[in-house]
Amino acid sequence: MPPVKKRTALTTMLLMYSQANGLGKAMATAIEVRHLRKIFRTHERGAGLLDAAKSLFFRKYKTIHALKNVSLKVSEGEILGLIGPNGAGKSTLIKAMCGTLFPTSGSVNCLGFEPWRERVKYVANIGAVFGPKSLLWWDLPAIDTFEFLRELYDVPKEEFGKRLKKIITLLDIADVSKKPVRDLSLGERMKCNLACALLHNPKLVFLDEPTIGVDLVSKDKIRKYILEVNKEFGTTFVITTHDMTDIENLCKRIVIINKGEIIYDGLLEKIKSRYVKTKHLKVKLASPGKKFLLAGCKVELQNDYALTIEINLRNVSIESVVQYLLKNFKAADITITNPPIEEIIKEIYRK
Amino acid sequence: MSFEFGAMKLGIKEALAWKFSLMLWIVISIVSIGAYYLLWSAIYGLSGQSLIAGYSFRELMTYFVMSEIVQTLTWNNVIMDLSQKIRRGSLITQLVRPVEFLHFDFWQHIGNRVMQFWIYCAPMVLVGVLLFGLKFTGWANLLLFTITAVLAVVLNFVLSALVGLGAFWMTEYHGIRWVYMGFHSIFSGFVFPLTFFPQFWQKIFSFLPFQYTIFVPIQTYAGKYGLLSVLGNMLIQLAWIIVLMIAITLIWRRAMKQFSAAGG
Repeated sequence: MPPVKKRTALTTMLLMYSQANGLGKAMATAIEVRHLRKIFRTHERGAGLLDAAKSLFFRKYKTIHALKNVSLKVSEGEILGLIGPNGAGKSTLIKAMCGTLFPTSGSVNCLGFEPWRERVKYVANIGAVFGPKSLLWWDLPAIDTFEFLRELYDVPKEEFGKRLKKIITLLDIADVSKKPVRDLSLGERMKCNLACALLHNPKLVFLDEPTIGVDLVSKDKIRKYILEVNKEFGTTFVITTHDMTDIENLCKRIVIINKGEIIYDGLLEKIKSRYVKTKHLKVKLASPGKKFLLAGCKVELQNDYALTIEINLRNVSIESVVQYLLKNFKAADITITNPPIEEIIKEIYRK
Repeated sequence: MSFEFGAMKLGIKEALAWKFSLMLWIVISIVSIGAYYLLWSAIYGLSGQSLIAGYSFRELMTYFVMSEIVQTLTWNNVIMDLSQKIRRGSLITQLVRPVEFLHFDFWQHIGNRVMQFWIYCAPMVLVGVLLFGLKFTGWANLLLFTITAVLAVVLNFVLSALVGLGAFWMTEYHGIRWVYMGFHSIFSGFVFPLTFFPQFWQKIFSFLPFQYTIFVPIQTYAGKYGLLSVLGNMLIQLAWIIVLMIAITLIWRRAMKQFSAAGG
């Protein structure tokens, strides 16, 4: 087993400083993907019995370009969000980075390894969750899987016990991990899967839809845990998800992939400011007011207690709206929210 | 050894989780040996001979009891397991662990067989003695049998693993598995002793690995071989294991190149 790099207080502090100041680019590179292509050849067949019989003799082959010239860099200690519609190539890209897929051309360098060539050696340094695919033994309690992983990754007993205790408390799986896995719900299993991917304290973690089937409270626990691991050990994460709250809570930088190509690679904030043309203003009224009337504002709801407005930023600034509001209304509470990022992504997909 | 031990422990725990169905194998064995008992007592009775192909009735029944025991000991689920993991794409969860899947699976399987030995074989010996007149052939034979049976467990594992690798190229693998199991049960001597076949066929079987998984261990227990040929057989078992392991390593490498997990 490769030695686990110990971080001194100083390097941790530097890391936190650089992350806080968006200096990620100056950090060492954890992943470098260059001009990656993957072409699959599958045969397609129509529905129905006749077509099934036909396909025995005549096979129509179809080439699928799952990845077309993908280049990407991820710095150490970064949490990268990889998003895109179904079939965009996210999972193919993750598989190539995990070493379980031989690309057609191009190169990948993860932690100094070419993943698919030195797979067994390389994967000792990574953790991975593949959506609902179970990492656990179906008929045994999850705790047995954890114990096996300790032996597999050769983690000292005491150290492992500490980590396990922490992970069990943070994810709230103390009871869950003692029941046979077959009796668990998908969400409970997902939490145990995450524990599997992180128990050996890997430097690099790939999470392909880690919050699928997980309830809101548990989702929150999972996110907090990911953030804490990232902060404490400088662990690099690559996360794909269809839950934009995950992205908003975890990632500073996102990569949007569609039809095998990267269509956006940059800060989440930037994409928001580029595509966010509206904001929502919610006001709790202390006393009923007159009708809200201001150019560039669309009143979605107004009654004696509440007021909701969509502000079109092209026509009016936030300041003037707030000024107008305070001049004419008695507000008990004001919140301004961005449109959900789903809307933004939809906007980009449409292009 | 910490990892191998860990994998074995998983196998043991899993076998304990399935202990009831593992115990049910005893019932299946009793039924199938019982059927043989009725069939062959009729054959011996009708032929009026006390020896058929060199076997007395009691020796033949000992063969059948031992064949059930050895078959259960050497049985494995590698072909089905591999083909399912490949078809459903869940093999990928094994590929991100720092150990080759078959290496891990072997040790887990050994753990499972250790439990199976206690859950199935030990009671089965008792059943064999009480119901079917299983003969004890001496401590020396038992010792030699134990060694060759352990080699048979390993040999049958690598044999199945090699066949299972075909699932990387054929998604629907159930048919292949059934055909293989059919051939295996005859060529290995599971259904009846290979000495029942004509000389020509026996010669062919000796060039194949199958008889070393069931027939040879049983004959060793029955004391049909001299010490020299027992040792010779063990060397052949070892040679097959090594040859098949090399083949597996080469094919596994090719399989990894074209493997792309389904789904997701």
